Amino acid sequence: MSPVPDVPAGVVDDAALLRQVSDGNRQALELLYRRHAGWLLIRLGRRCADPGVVDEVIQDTFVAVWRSASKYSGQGEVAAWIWGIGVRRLVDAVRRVPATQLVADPIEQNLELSAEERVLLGVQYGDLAGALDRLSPELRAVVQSTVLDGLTTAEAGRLLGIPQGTVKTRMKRAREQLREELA
Amino acid sequence: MTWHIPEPMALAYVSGEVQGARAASIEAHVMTCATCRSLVGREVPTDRLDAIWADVEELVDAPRPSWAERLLTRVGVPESDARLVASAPSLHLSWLTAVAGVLAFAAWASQNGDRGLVLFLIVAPIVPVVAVAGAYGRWIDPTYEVSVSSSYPTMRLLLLRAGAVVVASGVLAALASLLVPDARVAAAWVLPCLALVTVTLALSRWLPLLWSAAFVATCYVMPLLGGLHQDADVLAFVISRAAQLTALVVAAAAVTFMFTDPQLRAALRRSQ
Amino acid sequence: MIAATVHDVHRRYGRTQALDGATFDIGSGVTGLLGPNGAGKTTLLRILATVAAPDSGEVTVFGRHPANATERTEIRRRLGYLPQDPGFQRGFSVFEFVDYVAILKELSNRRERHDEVRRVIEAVDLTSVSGKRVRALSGGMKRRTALAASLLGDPQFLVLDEPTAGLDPEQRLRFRELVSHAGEGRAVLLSTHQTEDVAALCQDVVVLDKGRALFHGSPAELSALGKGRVWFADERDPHAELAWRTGDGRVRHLGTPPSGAATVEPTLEDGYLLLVGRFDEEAAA
Repeated sequence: MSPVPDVPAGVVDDAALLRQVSDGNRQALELLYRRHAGWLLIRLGRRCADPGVVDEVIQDTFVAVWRSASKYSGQGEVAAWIWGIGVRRLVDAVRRVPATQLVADPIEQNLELSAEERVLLGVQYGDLAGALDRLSPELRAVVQSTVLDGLTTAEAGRLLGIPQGTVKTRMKRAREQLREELA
Repeated sequence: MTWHIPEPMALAYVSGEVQGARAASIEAHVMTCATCRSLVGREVPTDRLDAIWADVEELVDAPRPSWAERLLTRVGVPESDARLVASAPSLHLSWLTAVAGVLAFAAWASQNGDRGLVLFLIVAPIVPVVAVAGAYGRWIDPTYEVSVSSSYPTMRLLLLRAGAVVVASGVLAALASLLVPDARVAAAWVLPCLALVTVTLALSRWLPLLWSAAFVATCYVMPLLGGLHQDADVLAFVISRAAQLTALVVAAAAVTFMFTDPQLRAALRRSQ
Repeated sequence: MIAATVHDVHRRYGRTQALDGATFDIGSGVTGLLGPNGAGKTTLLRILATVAAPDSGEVTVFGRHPANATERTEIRRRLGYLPQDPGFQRGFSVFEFVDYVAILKELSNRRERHDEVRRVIEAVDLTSVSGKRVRALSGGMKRRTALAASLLGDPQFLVLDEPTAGLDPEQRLRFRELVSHAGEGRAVLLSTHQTEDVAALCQDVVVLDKGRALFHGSPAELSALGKGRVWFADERDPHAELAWRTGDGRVRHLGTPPSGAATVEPTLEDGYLLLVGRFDEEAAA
């Protein structure tokens, strides 16, 4: 099968492609796939160690993109919309087939930050970054799932394999700890 | 945004070396930057992506089976045959609705005395014959020419479709017969129907299906209508044991005759 | 390689003698069947596609006889047919229609069949609309859908009945390109009443009129029939066999030129018209 050429993002933007997909254009779907399947696969792979499950989730995600393309509101990045579909499929998949989840390891505290990393962290999160890294792995995992990945507490519980109540408790503790640190 | 993830950082992220807030940062940035999305995405081996895409393509393209197809596959018909059968024009909702309407009318009419009962016995056996005519053939199938020029045995296509159509319209006729007040009449349409359908199919060996169906239908309806007109006791005739037995014999003869056709035997024997 | 032979074929429909002793061979490459409306082209193509049978005469395809049931099936396995007025089931998408024909061509393994369907749909450049209902598409796209279906299973002999009729010039150009590609490595027989199609595509031409083959040769040979028999004049010459006013105001004549008239290089159309002896009133310009 011939590879779809790498089209610079400016040529046809994602929102236009998604409109074409909702119009039944299969080629537009393939183009979207070539643009997004890669990073999605990697990001999901960091939350689930089983590559078979991840592959299946990617497949389900893009079939869902095909079927529900018209539901994209036009607000926000298409990448974020696709992520929303993908991560929820992962939650469903993990529930069906209990897979090893990745839980973040404790971060080495005195890592030398490169200039880029300083810029990166400064731009995105400021002081929050260090404080986040000082959270225990369990607390950081719930913060990542709910705040960064956009899951509900119920979904986060399913993904991490812990009861919803535990998610809420850990979120509360994480918030307290962060508030203390940043105060 | 003019800032992009430097390649070493991207590689570190992909290999799992980057953790915590830094990883979260990268992920948040990737969501807003197409260039970095392809930077990260490039690290996934193409054959893995191709393999997943092949599955997506198949799921997206694969036609959704209709109700008729699902029913047929559940009964054990191979999927490809089921697709061919389910696309018979007289299995469409519009046809089935029309058939149901006609049968409902006949069932209602049957509640009005002997003439009504005769009307039911005229209509109910004819309806599946008409449906069979609508299952295959130049007049009804838009892809007739292409299907003839293809290697799929046309006899098999005709028989499978006719079978499905007879079952569908037969079920509707049976339901309609529940409304018929006289129990003997309610059951008396079955054997004549069987005879008419089998003769139609047997004749289609020489005549186009439409002609065959029209001929058979006329041969059944005209004498009965004529009898009604002359006030003969058509009802008693049709439900009489003699008539019913004749219908059974005719059906058996037609089926036996059909089996003398080597093409038909070959078409049925074919396994997919 | 002889793909098909037609020998003294007769076929009557009611009072019309559609084919009246047609005889010729078809080899590999693209062969054009040129003739006015009513010449018997569709009848001939239907006979070659094993959809109809001749009243008398002999037809072979790949050396096999369609009259014999077993040989007929073997022919059909290697044949692709695009009828004059392709029909599509109500509600079918492009993919569903081509998949349906693929089943008729006995490609029963679902996954392989779908891959083949995708291949032919891509060959005619309809991937972007493969999910759309065929009946909702333009005439050109419908034809391309039917062409895709005829390409399934990589047939050795393609029979195309007036594939460019009713298409606008751009669609016609595109279609010619597709047919030209399709002609590589297999035998294609296409019927048309447009000489431009033949000039653009065909290595071989058969001119059919009133059920008979009047000519069989290369397009150059057909044009050559007009050598020394085409001339221009300002006014219509009554001695010409055919004449018509062209766009620049002068009258083009076909026939025996008066002495002293300057003849012009004949086109394929000139050779064809001289052979057939008349204009085709129903033909599109």
